[in-house]
Amino acid sequence: MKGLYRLLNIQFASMLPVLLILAAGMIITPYILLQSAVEKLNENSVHPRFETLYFTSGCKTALFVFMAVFCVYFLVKQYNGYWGSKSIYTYLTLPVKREAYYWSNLLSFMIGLLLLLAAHLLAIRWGYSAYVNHIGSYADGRFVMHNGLFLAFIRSSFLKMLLPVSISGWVASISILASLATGLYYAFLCERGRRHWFIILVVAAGWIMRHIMNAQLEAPTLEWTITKLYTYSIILLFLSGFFVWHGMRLVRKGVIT
Amino acid sequence: MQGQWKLLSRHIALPFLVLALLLIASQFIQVHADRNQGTFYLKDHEGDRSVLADVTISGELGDGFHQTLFKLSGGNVTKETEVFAPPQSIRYNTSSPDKAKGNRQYEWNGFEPFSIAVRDWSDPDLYETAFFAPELVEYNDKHQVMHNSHSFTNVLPYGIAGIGDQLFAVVPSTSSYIGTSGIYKLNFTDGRNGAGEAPVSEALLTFSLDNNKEPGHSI
Repeated sequence: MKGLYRLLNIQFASMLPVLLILAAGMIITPYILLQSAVEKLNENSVHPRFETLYFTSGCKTALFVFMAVFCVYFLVKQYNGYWGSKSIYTYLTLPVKREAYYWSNLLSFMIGLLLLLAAHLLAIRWGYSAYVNHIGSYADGRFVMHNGLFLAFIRSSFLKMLLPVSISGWVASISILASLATGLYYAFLCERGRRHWFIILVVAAGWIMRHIMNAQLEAPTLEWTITKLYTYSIILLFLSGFFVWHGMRLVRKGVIT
Repeated sequence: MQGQWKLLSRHIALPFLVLALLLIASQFIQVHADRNQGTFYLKDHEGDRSVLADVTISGELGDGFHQTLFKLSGGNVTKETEVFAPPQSIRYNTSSPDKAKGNRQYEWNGFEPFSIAVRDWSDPDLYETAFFAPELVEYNDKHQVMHNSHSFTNVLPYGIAGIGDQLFAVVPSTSSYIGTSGIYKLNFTDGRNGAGEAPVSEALLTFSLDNNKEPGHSI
């Protein structure tokens, strides 16, 4: 446990500079995008709802770009352990359990993803206040929608995935995040351990993830029932569990060197 | 500085995890703390408010996403908001919950006359329409806006209200409209009949929008 704690802090601290830069970008970019979109509005224009402006100004794209950059950074950092510093050999000979090495990588990746998500949620609130400030500045604020941020979060199915309203929504979103983190790291370990066939499972998890996301975005539809949501989510969680179990096994056996 | 960072970095991961979780939780709490922040108020246009002292006004405002039960009595407003979350909220087969309420979906089409069509998901045979024709003209930079390009303050079905089974509608017009608008008592008939045969709904009350012509407004 002590070994894990120390390794986790070492791994996370080494990621922190890049992570902080990405988090700052995640906070500032949506604000700039929304600000530049909202500046075009005046009292003669048709006022889009906040959630519409969030899409059209490109905030959603910004979220995906920053998340993807962080995932790539994580993978590059892992490969660096082989090709650059060769630190992997040091890590695996440390007098700590090899599971600790696995968990320290996975957890620091997950903390990073959560931090970026939190930064994006902050950015939405900040961007909303910029939106209200601008359209409240003319026509006595008549164009400001009362309680608009709450309405945006319950009306937009995309925002509902970031910050779910219901328990089923949380289950779906958490299972997507968990399988993203475990799946990506597992694919890397499979590649290193020459277990290429197992990467198919990661691809399968990706398909299920995509299906859940699409269905949640198009909801409510008659096809997307609560039973299906839980079934797909539980399959994803099981796959994540398998990724963790098998990934840990690969690290323990040392086949990833 | 170097030494401090080294010391700090030995315990850096968990504080950041806690920070991230706290931020997400606080956003959730803040967003949902607003659920009863919708505005409901009484505005005095004419007359004496004291006659309303013993009157309770209550109702329900909502669409396919959420509904708020409100009650105005003795100068106090109480509100109770429920949020529907997909996919549990499927009582209707629609991709536009902002046009739905309960089992019913409202399609609002056309201009002069406006037509409102209702469908009911619990009763597939029900398809009814109502027509009404306020004398409205929309201007944009001194040009009259022609059909299909009108703008409104909100999605049109938000202009529908009901008392019991009787529905009423008002056009959510912008400050670019002039003419006469009103609250219309909707007279629904079987929608399979043509538009020409259906009776036009009568206005419960009308009001003039000609104030929008005044200087300082957009026309």
